[in-house]
Amino acid sequence: MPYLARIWGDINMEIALQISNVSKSFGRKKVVDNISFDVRSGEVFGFLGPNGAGKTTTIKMIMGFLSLDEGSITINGYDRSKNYEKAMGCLGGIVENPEMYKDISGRVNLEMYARLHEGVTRERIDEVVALVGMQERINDKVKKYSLGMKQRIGLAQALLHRPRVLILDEPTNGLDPAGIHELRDILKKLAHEENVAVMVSSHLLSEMQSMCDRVGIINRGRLIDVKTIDELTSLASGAVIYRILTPQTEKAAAILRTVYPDQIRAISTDFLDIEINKAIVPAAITLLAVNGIEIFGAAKLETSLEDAFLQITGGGLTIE
Amino acid sequence: MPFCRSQGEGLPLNKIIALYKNELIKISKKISILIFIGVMIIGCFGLAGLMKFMEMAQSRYADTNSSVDQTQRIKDDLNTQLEDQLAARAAIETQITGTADTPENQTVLQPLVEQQASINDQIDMLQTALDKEIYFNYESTYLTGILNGLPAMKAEIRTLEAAEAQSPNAAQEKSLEVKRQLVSDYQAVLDSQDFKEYVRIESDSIKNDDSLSTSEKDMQIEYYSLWYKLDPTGIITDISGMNQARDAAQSVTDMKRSVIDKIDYTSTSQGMTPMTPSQISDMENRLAVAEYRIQNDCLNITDSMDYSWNSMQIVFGFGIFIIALMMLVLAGGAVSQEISSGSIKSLIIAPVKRWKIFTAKVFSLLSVGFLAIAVLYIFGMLAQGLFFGFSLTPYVYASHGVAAAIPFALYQILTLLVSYIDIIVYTAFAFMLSVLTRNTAVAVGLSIATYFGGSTVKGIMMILPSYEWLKFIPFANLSLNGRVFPFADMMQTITVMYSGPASAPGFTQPGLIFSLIYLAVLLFCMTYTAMDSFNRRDLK
Repeated sequence: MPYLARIWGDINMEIALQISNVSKSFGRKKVVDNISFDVRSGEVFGFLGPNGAGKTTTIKMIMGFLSLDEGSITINGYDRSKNYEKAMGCLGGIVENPEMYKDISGRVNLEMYARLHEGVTRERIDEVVALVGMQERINDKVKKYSLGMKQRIGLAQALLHRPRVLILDEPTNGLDPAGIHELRDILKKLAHEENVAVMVSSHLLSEMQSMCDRVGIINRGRLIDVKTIDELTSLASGAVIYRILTPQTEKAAAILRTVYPDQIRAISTDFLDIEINKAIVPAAITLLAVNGIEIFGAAKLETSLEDAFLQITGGGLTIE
Repeated sequence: MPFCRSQGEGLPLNKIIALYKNELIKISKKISILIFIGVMIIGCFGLAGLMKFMEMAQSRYADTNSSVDQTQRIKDDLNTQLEDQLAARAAIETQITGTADTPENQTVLQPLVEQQASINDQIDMLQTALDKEIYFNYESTYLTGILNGLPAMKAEIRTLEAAEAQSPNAAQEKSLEVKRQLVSDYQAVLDSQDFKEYVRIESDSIKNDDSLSTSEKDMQIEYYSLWYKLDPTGIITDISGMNQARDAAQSVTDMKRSVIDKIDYTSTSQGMTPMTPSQISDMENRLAVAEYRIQNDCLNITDSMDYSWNSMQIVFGFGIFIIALMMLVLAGGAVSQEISSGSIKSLIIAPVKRWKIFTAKVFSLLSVGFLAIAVLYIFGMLAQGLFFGFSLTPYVYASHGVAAAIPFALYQILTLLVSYIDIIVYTAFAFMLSVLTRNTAVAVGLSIATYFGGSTVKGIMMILPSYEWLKFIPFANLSLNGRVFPFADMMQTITVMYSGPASAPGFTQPGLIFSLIYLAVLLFCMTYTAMDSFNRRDLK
């Protein structure tokens, strides 16, 4: 993976988006509590957390919808509080659902947005429209678009001015599986080939797993950790779940409990899941075999980001 | 490919202009605006056409049976009066013949004879009216004037004759002679129906009246010559029986006398009150305007209602009303609608500071209003020209007693622009509400309610005692047209019922300069409040 090498190999790796000690309260409730992280050029940064964790609030602060109570945001080297227009000129994105002027065609909407940036040509608009595959319907009024089409046109708008930082809030909402796949490819291409810093928020961890290079995990307004995808998955490798295929599940479970209490995770009619270290697997199987259990197979269950995530947050996911 | 081209801060104007263009695109795509403008244009032609239709109906009415019926009714009425008088005369005659003509009965007889004579005069008058079709009480011409005056003059002559019979003297003789001559002259005029002759007779009698000073003589003679100048026929009366030419001549004469004597002769209700210096200079200006209008022949003396003028007022009044509603709907939703639909997102994400978005919105609203005013002007004038022709009376104003005129076309656009000031104030209010409440319904509803309530509040203020603080109420400072164009009421007729600044009983509007400064401060405060909120508040 050359891009990973580029990210981790180059210590001068450019920081495109820097969030420093940012806090935000709504009334007495602290929604974002002293968050700091960087997004680098050329990477896809996943911003993960359950609903109500503060993802959208953080993104809205970056996008200029909300003021910061504390902290600072730097985009492409420009401090947003000092160089607002320069900083925002390097930023593109979608917050929640993309909303356009409904009585106006997609193209005119893009033209209007382009007018607010410098150097966006008519050709660039055509190029972006082609990139999101909206050539056919671009002259229709936006109110005739489906949610998926709105997502596409929103992405086109976000990319129009070649931003250095692209922020997408829940971008796969309303997209069909093909659309999600397409989006994933576009984002990866932008990051890895065109060196854009991409930040994607989601509560669907599985899709982030296939898209992100690094992940920041947020819960209850606090940033819990920032890890690479590799680090995350390896975190989970300490204790792995093995599935043992046998028709005598009850008997097997009873035998295993004598040696490994509290480690059975699931019991079914033809298999049982046990959480044990890799090193202990042969001993466990031998134990079962010695006691006359018929074993038809044993396999390691695939770990996922989900497991790692649960592990990191200590399973303490809260939905507020 | 280079990313993130140098987004130079550049001139803030570039970004504002770009935002402004976008705002105009957005507004132009709003169907409600097209509907408002459409209604306005249709209204221009529809209302002017309606007025033209009414004018035609009016003139047709004059030629139809109903007009004949009307004349017949007047004749019947006069005939009834005549019969009453004849009956009264017969009763008195019986009474006289029933009373013996003895010296002791003279005290009873004498008033009866006098009464008989006056009834005879009345009968004469009614008879003449019927014969010569001079319908006094229904119209107001020099002929009805003569006819109305005759009985009193005849009575006067009889009194003089009686006095002469008892103690003749030369002065009395001469006065009697003059009066008899006058009556016969009047009779001659009634026969010849010559207005010029009437004017001559009146002028001569004024010249010979020794009780008047020279200046008073001049003034009264001028009154008649002015009347003759304005209406050489002397008989043009309008639909309500008013003689505009005579009233105008009377007004001018009254104003002249008022200026010279420094006493207000024009307001009949309050008697003759001395005038303050400011009232005098005001009166001088009005006089100058009236004289300018007369000299330049731009006085409209007609025998019918002035439909052209009324049409103009209605068309532009309606247009301004529609524009005001349109602006309130636009401004009331300018920010709140973008927030509720979420479309504001693409503005917030764009590299533009919020104050620039705000400024662009304000200017786009202002220009849409200007555009609407221009459309109203063009189509209003077009409709007017189409139905009533383009000959329009200019606006004449005066300062320090010197009059000048501006053409009507220019006057009309200036009036519309002055009316636009009111709309701007209400629009700013709607816009501020839109920003503060972020609720389109509240912003539009409240501002339209204020727009309608304004006139009510002003009406209430007019009947309140004249407290000084009342002038700090916003409504007192709106409707600038009356103060920017104080002589506009003289465009249709120069008949003046003068009521000077200090003579009005209730609240009077503050001066123009005060109001302009007040409105400027008010606009600034509303805009600043809105802008501050728009710049700072979170968009959740």
